[in-house]
Amino acid sequence: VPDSPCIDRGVAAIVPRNATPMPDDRLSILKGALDVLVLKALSWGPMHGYAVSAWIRQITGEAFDVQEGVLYPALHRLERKGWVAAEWGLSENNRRARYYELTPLGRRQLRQELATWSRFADAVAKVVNATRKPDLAPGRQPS
Amino acid sequence: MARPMPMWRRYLTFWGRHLRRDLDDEIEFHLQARTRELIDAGWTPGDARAEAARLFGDTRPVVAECLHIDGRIEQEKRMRRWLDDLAQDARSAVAQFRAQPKLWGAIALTVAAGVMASRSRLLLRIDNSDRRPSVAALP
Repeated sequence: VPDSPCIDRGVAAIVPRNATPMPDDRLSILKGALDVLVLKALSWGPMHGYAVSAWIRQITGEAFDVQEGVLYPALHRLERKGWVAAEWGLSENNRRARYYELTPLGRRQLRQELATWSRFADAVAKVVNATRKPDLAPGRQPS
Repeated sequence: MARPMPMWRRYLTFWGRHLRRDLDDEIEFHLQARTRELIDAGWTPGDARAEAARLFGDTRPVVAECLHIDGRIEQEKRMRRWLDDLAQDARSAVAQFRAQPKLWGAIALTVAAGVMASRSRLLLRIDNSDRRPSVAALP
């Protein structure tokens, strides 16, 4: 994820509620999640930014303290990469709104990202749920 | 679900997007939708608007970053359009040449002859010139 002042400012976007502050290098792992969350939201069909934000809040049970403004640079960045296309349309309330839609390239990217994240989540879960002690190197005794 | 924009609105974008206005509209839409959601949840309109703004965060860095990205998108679109036009012109020129090779060959020969003639006249004038460069003006 390229450095983004908005993401840096809105790290809350993907930091779990009540989480203690973490150093930036560890946060950078979490920053990468934002693109996946947005792409996944858009996989259901064209949405405006507010709907994307609302869907992420609902699906995570508001587990993430989303600073909602952070979403927009991410959406525009994905548009520049060609992963989403944007078009103005009218919302349910007849208001002018900008709708985002996954492009075929974005759909392919989402598949790759989901596979990567699944592997990552599985690996972390194995570590978190591990019940076996590490094998100590032969010849060394714990102090 | 998005409904297509009325045709008359599309003409407004004929001369290009107004990036800042579009961005302001987009953020305002978000804030209004969030405010409405909070009002439905029991907030007073004033408190709901303030809470929506707080949840959104500072708009200035968002606007600055989005404008930067949008500017690059527009720049890339213009470049792509220009390259497409160039490629189309080249294709069209080749197609015309293939359709009427004699005519275009004659045109090319005429132009080449004209260029050579004017070049040789220029060379002749230089050779016949007996004027020396003026050195009087030099210090």
